[in-house]
Order: sequence, then C-alpha cells, then structure tokens
Amino acid sequence: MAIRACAAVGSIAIFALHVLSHVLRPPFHFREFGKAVLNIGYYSLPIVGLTALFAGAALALQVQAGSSRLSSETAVPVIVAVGMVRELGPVLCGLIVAGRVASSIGAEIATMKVTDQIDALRTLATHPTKFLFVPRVVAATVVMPILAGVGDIIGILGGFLVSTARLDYDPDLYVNFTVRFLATSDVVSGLAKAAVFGFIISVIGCYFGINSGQGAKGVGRATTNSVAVASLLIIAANYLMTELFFRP
Amino acid sequence: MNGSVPTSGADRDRPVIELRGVTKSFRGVPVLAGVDLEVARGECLTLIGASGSGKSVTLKCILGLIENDGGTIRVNGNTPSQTSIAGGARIGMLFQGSALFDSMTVFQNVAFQLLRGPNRIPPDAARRIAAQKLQRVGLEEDVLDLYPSELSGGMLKRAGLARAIATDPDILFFDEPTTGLDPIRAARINHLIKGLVQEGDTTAFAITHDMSSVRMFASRAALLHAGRIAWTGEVDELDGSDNPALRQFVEGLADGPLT
Repeated sequence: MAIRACAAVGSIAIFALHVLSHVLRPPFHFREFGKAVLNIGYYSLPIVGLTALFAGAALALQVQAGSSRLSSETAVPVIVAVGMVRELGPVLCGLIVAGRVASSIGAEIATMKVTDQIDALRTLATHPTKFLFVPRVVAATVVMPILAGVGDIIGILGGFLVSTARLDYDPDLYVNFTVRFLATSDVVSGLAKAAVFGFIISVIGCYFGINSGQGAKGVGRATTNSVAVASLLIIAANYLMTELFFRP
Repeated sequence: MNGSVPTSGADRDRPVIELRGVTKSFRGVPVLAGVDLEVARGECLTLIGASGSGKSVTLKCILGLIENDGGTIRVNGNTPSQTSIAGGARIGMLFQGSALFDSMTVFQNVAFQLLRGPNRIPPDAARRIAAQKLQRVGLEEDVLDLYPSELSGGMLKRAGLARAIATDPDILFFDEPTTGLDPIRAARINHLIKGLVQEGDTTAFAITHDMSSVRMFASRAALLHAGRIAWTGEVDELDGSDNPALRQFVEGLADGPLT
C-alpha cells in the first residue's frame, strides 16, 4: 500500500514535470488557454463567491461567539479578514474548484482517451501535452489567485454584513480594523497558496484523465480520483505552505 | 508533419511502409511475434485477421502511437515515434469510431490542421477547403457548424474521412472503416475510400475484418494470424488460396486454425 502510494506520487510528480517542461516551448495554443480560463475562472465565480459570502458570515458569528467570552469583540473584523485571506479563501476556493474543475478535466480527457481522440490529436501532428494539458495547467495556476482574491473580498463582505446588521458593529470601525490589521504578507501568502492549488487541481485532473482505464468505468474512476486526490493534496499543501509562511 | 516525400527513382521503388520482424507484447503476452510487411507507393493494402489478432496494435505501431518491442518499422524511410507520428510523413487517419473532437464543430474538426501549425491558413480559406472535403465525402456544407453529437453514424464516418483528407496526405490509414455501419452505409464508405485511394499517388493501409471492404478498395491483402503475417497476396487471389487460415477467414467458417 505504502509502496503503491509512493509510486503514484512519483508518477504524478514526473507527469507534472513533463507538463512544466512544455510550458515555454512552442507551439502555444492560445485559443485553448482562453477556453480553459473561461471554464476554470469565469464559470467558477458564482459558486466561489456564494461559498465565500456564507463562510465569511459564519466566521463572523463564530468569532463573535468565541471572543465575547474574552470581552474582545473587536477581534471579529481582524480574524474574519485574516482568516479569509490566509486560510479560508484559498482553501475553500481550492476545494470548490477541485470539485468542479478537476472532475471535468479528468472526465473530459478520459473520454477523449477512450474514444481515440487523443490518438487522433497525435495523427493530426498535435502534441496532447501542448494542446490539452499546458493550457489547462497554466490557466488554472493563473486564474486561481484571481478567484481566491475575489472570494476573499466577498468573504470579508459577508463578515461585514453580518457584523453590522446582526452584531451591531459600527461599519466605519469594522472597515478601519480590517484594513489596519490586514498585512500585505497575508494577502500574498493566500494568493500564492491559491496558485499552487490551481496547479495541483489541473495537473491531477490531466493525470487521472490520461491514465484512465477503458470504457465508462475508466472515465468514472478518473473523475472520482481526480476530485479525491486533488482535494487531499490541497489540504496537505495548505498545511505545508502555512508552515512555510507562518512558522511560529 | 513536414516529412518530405521521396522523389528519386530509388526512393520511389522503396516501400512506403516497411515492417521487419516487429514484435509487441502486453504484460508478457505476445501480440505481434515478428510481423514482416511492405506497402508499396500507390498501393492499398488491407490487413485482415480475426478480432484480437493484433491488427490495431500493428497499425498503432506503424503510426508510432505505441512503441514496438522489437523489429524495425519505416514509414517513408523514417522511424515513427510518439513525437514523430508515422515518421513525420503527411498522413490522414480514419478511426474506427471516427474520433472527432466532440467539443468542436465539424468545421473545426475537418480544418483542425489547416488552422494550426506552421502551414496554417486563414479561417475563411480553411472553411472553403473544409466544405470542399465534406462535399467530396458526400456531406453538405450545412453540417459545418454542427457538433459531432448531432451527426448520425454514417455522417460521423464521412466527417472523419473529410478530416483525414483535409491536407491531401500522402498516406491514408483506415481502422475498421465500416464497423458499426449498416450494409448500405458501409458500401457507401467503401466506395468513397476506393475513390480516394485511386486518386493521385495515395498510399493506403487499412485494417478490417470486413471482406466486402477488402474486395472493394484494396489492391493487396495480408492475413495476420498468431502474431505473424500468415498470408499475403493480391485481392484476386483471396478465394483461390489453399492457406487454411485464410480460407477459414474468407469463408467465415467456425472451425479452423483461427480461434
């Protein structure tokens, strides 16, 4: 079991390096990149935004409930902002996009494989790595920080709305605390995490898609594995990067 | 696909496709056990054989989609590989299931190579060529903006054929071109292929187990059995052969060396 897990991690790492080695080498398929940006970024915006809104609102309530015991209610704007930007924003965004995009990439590429479309690409003098993988991986890596940034803003807005409407916070004071205590390093670390999560999601989707078994069962397994492994790696990578950025 | 076509006398006499002792195993099970085969310029060779005999594996090895374990393969004198399909020769391929890209329209499929790569042409010109190629295979221009999911099985094959001939390739490959079609549509596809392979100097290599296809468009046939070429000859010789495997296959007999 452990040996198989190590082999799988090694295989994924080699695949990721293979994709990276093609990123800067022509030909470049800009049209495919544009389509991937739309699919991964634009179409994920509504679900990421709504999730962040409710997460920020719930976080504000939780912090208020906890901090009231310590008589430090002003902690709400600070913890909501820092919590969203450093942790909840990128992780929630990563998990949602993993569910939506890793599955779709895995299923699409697996279907292309079992219906000979990958072989057809090769016979049409087109490298599948350059045409299918590179545009998706680059698009996900570029778009995820933007998505996470939008999610951060909406999450903080959710906290603001709940705090001012339900917890009687002064709006000016709330904004003041949020801006004053939020450091540039908080924002940069969150966006860097999101970029890594985007890379993980797209590489995992492509990897399980191209290595899928035959038939509907193979496509189904590729889809499930893409989501499960991408989610697991996001959680693990989040811990490692938190250690890296915020080591006590 | 910038492979140049040899034009000198010696080159023209050399087989376009040449297999020498090609072997291939999957998980220790030999599928090809020393295949020797030649396809001359301008001829259409069909590789026949029972299901699971290794026809598709042979085709994929020739194209370079999978790597052969042993032996040599030359296409236009070059060795095919994953990065140099069919040794860089200009090829067209019709897949068994058409393999049209289902996220693209028929136009985008047929004009795929015309719109990409170093020899790309403007979209308007590509659209005109795509319409011509579709017309050549009996499809109207109005299918250009349809998606593959909106086409019937016969139309899919034709669109796949149009994509295969879009760049006027030197070599055409066909993988079970009539599988899944009713006899009438199969006959139409066979007629189309016959017309295409008789045009110009096109070399064709097809794999099939449909004897009507073989008789319709092939000039020569080879039988793959037990991982080797068990028989090869002109199509006219198919019926008179005393090779037991060939007789069993041609006559569709349940008993014989083919399992």
